[in-house]
Amino acid sequence: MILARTFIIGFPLLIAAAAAWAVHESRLSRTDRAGGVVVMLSQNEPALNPFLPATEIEREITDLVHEPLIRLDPDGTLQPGLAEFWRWTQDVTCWFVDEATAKRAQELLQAQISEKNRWAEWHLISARVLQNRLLLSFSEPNSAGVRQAFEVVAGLDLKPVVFWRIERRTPLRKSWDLFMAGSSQAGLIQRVWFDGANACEIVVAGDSHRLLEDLHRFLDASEKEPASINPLAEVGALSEPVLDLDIRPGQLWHDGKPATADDAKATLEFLRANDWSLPNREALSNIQTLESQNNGTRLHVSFRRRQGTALCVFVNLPILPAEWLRAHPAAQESDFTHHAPPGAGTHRIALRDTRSLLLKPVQEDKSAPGFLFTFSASPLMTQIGMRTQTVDLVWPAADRTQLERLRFTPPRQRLVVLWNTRHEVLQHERCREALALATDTDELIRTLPGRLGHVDASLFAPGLWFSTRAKSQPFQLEQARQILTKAGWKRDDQGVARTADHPFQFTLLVPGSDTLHTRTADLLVAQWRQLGAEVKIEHVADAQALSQRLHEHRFDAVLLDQRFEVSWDQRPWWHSAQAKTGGNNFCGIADPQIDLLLEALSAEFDPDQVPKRVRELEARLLPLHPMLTLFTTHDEAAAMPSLQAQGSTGGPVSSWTLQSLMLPPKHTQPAPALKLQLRSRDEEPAVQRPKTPADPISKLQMRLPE
Amino acid sequence: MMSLQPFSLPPRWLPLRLLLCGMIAAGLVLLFGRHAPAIPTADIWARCGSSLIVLAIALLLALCIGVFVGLRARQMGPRTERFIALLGRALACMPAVVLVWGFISGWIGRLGWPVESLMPAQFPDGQDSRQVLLAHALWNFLAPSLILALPLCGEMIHAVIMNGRAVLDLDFSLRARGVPKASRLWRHHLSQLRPLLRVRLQSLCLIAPVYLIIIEDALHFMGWGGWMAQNLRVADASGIALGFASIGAMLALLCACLLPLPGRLKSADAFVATLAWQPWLLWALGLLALLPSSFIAWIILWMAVLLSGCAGWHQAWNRIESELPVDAARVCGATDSMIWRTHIAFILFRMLTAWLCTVLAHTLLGMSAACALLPRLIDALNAPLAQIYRPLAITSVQDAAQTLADPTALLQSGACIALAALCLIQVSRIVQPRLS
Repeated sequence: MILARTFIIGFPLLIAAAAAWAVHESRLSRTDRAGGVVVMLSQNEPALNPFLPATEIEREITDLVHEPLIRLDPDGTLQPGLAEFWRWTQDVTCWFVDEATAKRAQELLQAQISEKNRWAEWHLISARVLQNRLLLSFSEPNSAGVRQAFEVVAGLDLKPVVFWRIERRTPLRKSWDLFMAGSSQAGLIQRVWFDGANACEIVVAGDSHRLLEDLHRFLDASEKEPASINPLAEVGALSEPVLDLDIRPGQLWHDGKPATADDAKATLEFLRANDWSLPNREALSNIQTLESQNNGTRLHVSFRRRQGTALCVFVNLPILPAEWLRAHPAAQESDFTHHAPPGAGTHRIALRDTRSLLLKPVQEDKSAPGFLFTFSASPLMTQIGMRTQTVDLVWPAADRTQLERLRFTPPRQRLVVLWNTRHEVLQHERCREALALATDTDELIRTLPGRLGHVDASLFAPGLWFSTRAKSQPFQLEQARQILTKAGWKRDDQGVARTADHPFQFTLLVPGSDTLHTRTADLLVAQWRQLGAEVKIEHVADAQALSQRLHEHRFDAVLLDQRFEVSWDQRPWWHSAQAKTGGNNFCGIADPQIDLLLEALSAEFDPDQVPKRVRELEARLLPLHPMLTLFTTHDEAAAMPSLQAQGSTGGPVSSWTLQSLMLPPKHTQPAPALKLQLRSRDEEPAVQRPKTPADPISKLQMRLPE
Repeated sequence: MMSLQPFSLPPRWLPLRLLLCGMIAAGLVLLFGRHAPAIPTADIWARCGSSLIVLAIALLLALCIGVFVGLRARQMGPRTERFIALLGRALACMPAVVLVWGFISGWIGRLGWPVESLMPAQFPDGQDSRQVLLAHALWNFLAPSLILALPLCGEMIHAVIMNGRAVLDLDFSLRARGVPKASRLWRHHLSQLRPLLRVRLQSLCLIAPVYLIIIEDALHFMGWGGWMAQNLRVADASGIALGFASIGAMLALLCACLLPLPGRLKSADAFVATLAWQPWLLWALGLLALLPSSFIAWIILWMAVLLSGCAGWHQAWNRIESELPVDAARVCGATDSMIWRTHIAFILFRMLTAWLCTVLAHTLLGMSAACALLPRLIDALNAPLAQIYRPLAITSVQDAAQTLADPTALLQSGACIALAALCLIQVSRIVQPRLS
């Protein structure tokens, strides 16, 4: 009896005690986590292609694992990444009839030092002779001394330098290789640059007649149509901007091998061989040569064109080990998924499968947290994680009730309306201004789905140091109506504004069938209707058709996504040379003053000077109301209260990233900026300018919807 | 749910019969589905082992708590005893899906406490110590066991109280002999109950797999039930057949383990007992999963209910029929038609009413299990019934998340079904004739 009674009472008590202990231990083990940040993602396992992040979280994981040469920090300033220093120089090459003449030219230039040390005035660093070539190196890419130095040697027997463009209907590369191997004239060719498979541009020093004959002989063999070879320009010397990037010593890949300039070179060559849609793709393709110098501590890059924004190619561009790239010469998504390349970032991939990814800090002694990403997390799992506080971050935010815990990532794009300034109504600046005033962006942001942010009227991404933060027009319907009335657009009995000749009518082109686009267009039409504008919506589902219509300027107004990219070159979008059919200046803005400002901005090599030039440009361009900025779109993550203790989540809510969990809390005053552009090694080190805030570089680039 | 059916004696060699019938059911499924048999993998065996542990813990817990509460209730007097029996019966009537989701919602949703099998990934560093590993493993098994124990406890409490009334009351004579109260209860009364409790436990084994499927599926527990739920959902005949065979073996093992309990009851040799003592509800669910249309679904379920209760009702009628004063009436000169009208028809009518009510209550509860596992069957219900049963069908993760956040609809549905079943059972109990 005693045994039975003990068992009957004791067994449930034993089970209850065991359950209570197990629950207690289980709770403790989960709440007292010191391991790091657990992130739940609804998306499937990402490929983690560092160059083509498909989502914001993928971009941020890449940012933790891989290190670029130059990093854009959360404040929008340039910071050293793998490259510790960088500097722009300019190489000028002159070809002479023989080596003696070249040496004579060198002597003439050296004589300039003894007289008045004009080399310093010209920013000339060195003058070297290689066979019949004289190589001049200038420390300033925009130096006026180039011309003066050239004038000194111009009287000697210089060979002309001619740029030729070769085009053929069929791929050129094979014939070209045969030509280079078999022609005695190949030595005249100093530079070759392939523009796709069927075209290339060459630089020839000296007489080109026999070379052209040989070229035709090789290129036209077994071809029905002869290749077209046309001269582009002729100059006395070849001038090339050069960027030197010094790799930070002691930087290691996660497998322990040192990161060198060879890795950066291999990465850039790999990307040039690919046709991936990368930011600043054009600048990347303008690279003429890539060299690893000084035992792999310096990357020497020369460019075909004088474009200051070429520096932006290296900003936030992850660098991969050359060894991995050699092992995967045509790396695709599966290679990145199954054989993830080691990075040089703050975190390494410790564990990866289809459901989770574990990132551990490379330097475990530091207080950087690890990250555990769980993919394909169902809403149930997410809720369980949130309620048991075993998850720190849910991405995208699932629980809309936790609004105070949401964190917004930096905007990657914004929605704008571009006006076609050739349209009979929209050509009037006052009409465009009235439309801007009659647009209530607050209402759009309130009404439309997704996480949308207010945006200024600047051409550039918000939050960057050179962005002017130009204020967008506040919603003032009455004022907009008055402007229209004063401009002669009076409203008829149906409420439509009209002049004697034209009603205020136009068509808004809306790309794709995206809900956000469609609903935005509907709201805009309703808002503009109150002004007196009769706007029709035309949907263009096919991106190619839309692109064609924009390039042919067959539209009145168009709703477009603008993706922010790190560059300040705006020439393609507003220069009058691009306003012709086929150009990217869809608005059709044609203003000589603006052209000059755009050219000056594009050619600006010094980031310090960019803000001034941007202000000048926007002061001229924005009053023309070429476009109407609506709102930015953000990704959002829900952070649990436990996360707030780790790292800083303060600062502007729209600039929160995973990297911000690694940083100490921000100071209210920005730290003094580092002058990142070193002069030559011979010059004094530690030259710093204390005045300006750190220098961010960025650019807004307009993209057609893909 | 078994307590809703009248008590019936198990057949002889019950474990062997369960094993063989499991095999036969599996064979029929394969024949029906025209599939090759699935080869059991190590994973399946591991899952069966896990589920066996869960079943064993739950049955033992149910037995201990049922006996303890039942005996304590006996000490508190007949009214309290009846009330507690009603509570036990009400607990047994609660659909398993409501119990498990109610637990998840309260435990995780309200308290924010963990359930191992549902927890998201964790940093590997956090699981280093053996103590933590042991705690995780223990709670992983105890959570489904405790939930499964809930309805089984309800069954056992009811059974202990009802069986306590059915056995010969020795209390007065024992008291007269000066036997202490505790001894009367824990020695003499319990020894009277033992054989009946063994039969009750064996009968619970037959219904527990259905509970187990629902609970393991909701908790994402890596056991036989979770695996079977997946097979039912995708209507995989090979998997279902393997599930039938494996559960037949598991039930045989459990029933065999219960055999050494002291005390013997006369085994029923009849074919009817063999037929009734099978996991009919589980087999019906397997068949429903394989049927493309839900047109005859409820007929199959109803048939399963009939078959599982047939032995109890058969034995109950035999007992009542033997007590009818038919011979006395005939001696008094009553004709057969008079005997039929006066003594049999009315009793039979009451018996039929009780039987109908019980079958209806049992069908309602069977439907809740079917709807939870095979939501498409809801489409075959009429609108009001579908409205009641729909919250039980947690088909998608969105439904699950919604239920986790707000289980009100599920609890309301569960309460409605349990109340309806309980009312029907009470009506059945009231109208059922008890001649002696």
